[in-house]
Amino acid sequence: MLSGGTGECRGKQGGVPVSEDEYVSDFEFDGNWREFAAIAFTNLLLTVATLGIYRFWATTRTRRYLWSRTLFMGDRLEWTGTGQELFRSGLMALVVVLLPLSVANWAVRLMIAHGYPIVGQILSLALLIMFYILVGTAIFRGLRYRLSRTCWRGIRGGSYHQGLAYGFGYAWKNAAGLLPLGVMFPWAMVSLWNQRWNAVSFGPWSFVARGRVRGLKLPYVWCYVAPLVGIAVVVLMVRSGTILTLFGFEPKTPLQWVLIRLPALFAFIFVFALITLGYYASFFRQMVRSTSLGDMNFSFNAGAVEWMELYLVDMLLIVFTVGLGSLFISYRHWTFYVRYLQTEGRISVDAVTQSATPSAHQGEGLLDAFNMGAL
Amino acid sequence: MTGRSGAITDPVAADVFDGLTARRHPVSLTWDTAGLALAGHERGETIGWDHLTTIDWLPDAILLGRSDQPGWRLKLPPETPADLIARLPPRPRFGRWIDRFGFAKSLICGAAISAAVFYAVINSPNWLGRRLPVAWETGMSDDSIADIAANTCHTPASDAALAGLVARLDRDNADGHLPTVRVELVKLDLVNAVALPGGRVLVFDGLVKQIASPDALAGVIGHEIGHVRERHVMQAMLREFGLTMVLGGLKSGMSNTFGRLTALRFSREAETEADTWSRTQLAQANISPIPTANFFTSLEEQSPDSPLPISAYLNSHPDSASRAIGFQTAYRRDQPYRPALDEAQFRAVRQACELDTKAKPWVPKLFR
Repeated sequence: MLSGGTGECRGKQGGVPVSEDEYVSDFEFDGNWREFAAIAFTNLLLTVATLGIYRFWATTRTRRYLWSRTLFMGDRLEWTGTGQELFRSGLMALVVVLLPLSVANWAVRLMIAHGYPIVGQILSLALLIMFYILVGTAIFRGLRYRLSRTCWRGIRGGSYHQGLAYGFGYAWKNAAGLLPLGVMFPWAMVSLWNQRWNAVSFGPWSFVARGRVRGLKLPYVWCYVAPLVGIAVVVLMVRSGTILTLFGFEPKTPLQWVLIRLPALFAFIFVFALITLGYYASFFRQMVRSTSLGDMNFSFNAGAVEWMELYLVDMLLIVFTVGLGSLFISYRHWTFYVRYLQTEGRISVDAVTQSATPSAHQGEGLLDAFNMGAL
Repeated sequence: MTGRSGAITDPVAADVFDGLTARRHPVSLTWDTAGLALAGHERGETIGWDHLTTIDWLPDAILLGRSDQPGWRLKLPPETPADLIARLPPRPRFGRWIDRFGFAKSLICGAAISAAVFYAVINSPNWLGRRLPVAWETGMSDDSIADIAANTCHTPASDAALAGLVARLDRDNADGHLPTVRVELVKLDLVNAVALPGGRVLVFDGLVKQIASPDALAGVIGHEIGHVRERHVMQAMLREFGLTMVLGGLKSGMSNTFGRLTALRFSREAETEADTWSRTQLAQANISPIPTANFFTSLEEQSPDSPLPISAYLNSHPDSASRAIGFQTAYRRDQPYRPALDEAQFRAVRQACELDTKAKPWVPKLFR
């Protein structure tokens, strides 16, 4: 018998268990921004009152809420991470990675200033490479940590890898992708996506990512053309005189000169962002579609316009609330992903066994440290 | 099974996930003082209360876990009896310490401690700057501005006049327990004077040319010696260093603005302190404060610092008008004032940069 997924599960609480496959349903989100606001504002208060130390616990509370309001096949996700482990790993990253890196950076500058330019340059290149490797490692460990702290029906995710291989991959693939005028960049992004997701798992299954560059070339060519298109738009708007007639006067002061060009500038940014997001939307759509877990396949249906809307509203939200709106960014982004992520396929609940991966002990301190931009 | 009231409780239907597979196991629950008893599909066991943890209160369930079995979850339905809920460990909310202490209390205590830490950090450069040995500062002097030696103007008469003025103003150091402050003239057409690390004061030629009275020159030099003696230079260096360390990590526009504002507030405090020092020393040296007041008034007339008094707060120096008033009110009618320099000495100082042919005009590094 094939039970009908969510409804059946919910309705038959305490009923006879089914042992056969169930069709999976999409993720659902049943939280609301009012509940979230209560968490976000108390987080803000406590973070300010503790000179920022509470932010690790704030992150935990935020995630616990977002995860717990997200349902998959009738059961809620659960965030099992703690603020304490985030705090500890943040501290570790600061002492073990950021301090040595800044000391080394400072030493390089001294060397260059005191007559050892070549040694200094070589060392600074080595530092840059090391920095990339660390950032890559941090990205991987962040993903591993989040999967290992995500629970569904008591089952969690994880990885057997430490992330160093991904760190090296991140460094050389980004270099290879960017060096020949950036033409290989889509390849680097796709390859890194595959490397990252093939190394992590949920429950008994490893994710399988078979992303390909084909289909991304055209959107990427548009990114190349985007600045030209943008400039063309600006030139057209300025030349055609639409702006002048709109304002009804010739610019007399430099300020007026700038002001009447502002719409053109915004148009340029808008067009450029839309084209770049067009590429990113195609990338993300293709990657999600080519990633699977067990017998489950995924798809993601947001296009450039939806991404643009996400970021535009983010921006307006922040601007019109003098920054306070940034509290809601994580909520908006999480619901964005849940809204557009679709799952299909089937699973047998008996086959979803506990992950055997070692439970990651450190949080995402390293990633967090780099996000802080302290370097 | 008896509840707390001693009455028999009806079993409650719930779901268990055993942490091994994603299968849902329906169970019926009963409870007593020993713990929570699970009966149902292949599983009958009693879990002691101290092994149970409350994971979350969800909109449609209460989620429990076991401290001895990661991944094990018990989902209690919304209609769980209050008697059972009362026995459960409290749910985690803000984090362990805050939950134990209470949100409001934690918030108030946290804010108080943070304010204290903040106050200590903000004021530590001032505190420390006054206590670090003067000798440390002397070591920093010549590196920072060694290349200005070629631009200073020296004649025997002007050097003697300035040294005499310093000795008269810096009376507290008559016994020489601190290094003597060196005042030098710099060939630069700028109406300003600065105090450098290591007790060095530079007076720009433009200021000397503009000043009409030796007493006003004494007031300005007194202000700069005040910076040296009050250790403002050391404090400023420490603050610069500290703010880069503390605020550099936050890297947001707000913290930068904030850093600038605090730095300005401190420099305003320092300027006021240096003015006070100058006035005190002028008084004990029997030099009239009025010419200094007039000098500030003339500065105010030339370029009113600000149309609004509020923006004086954003300026590193207090506005000239209020500085002038400060010096005016220091005047004592019954005090026997003497000129700071006699006419010959003052002339020697004013002409030093013309007479010293070896002094080159200073071009600040920025323009080189």
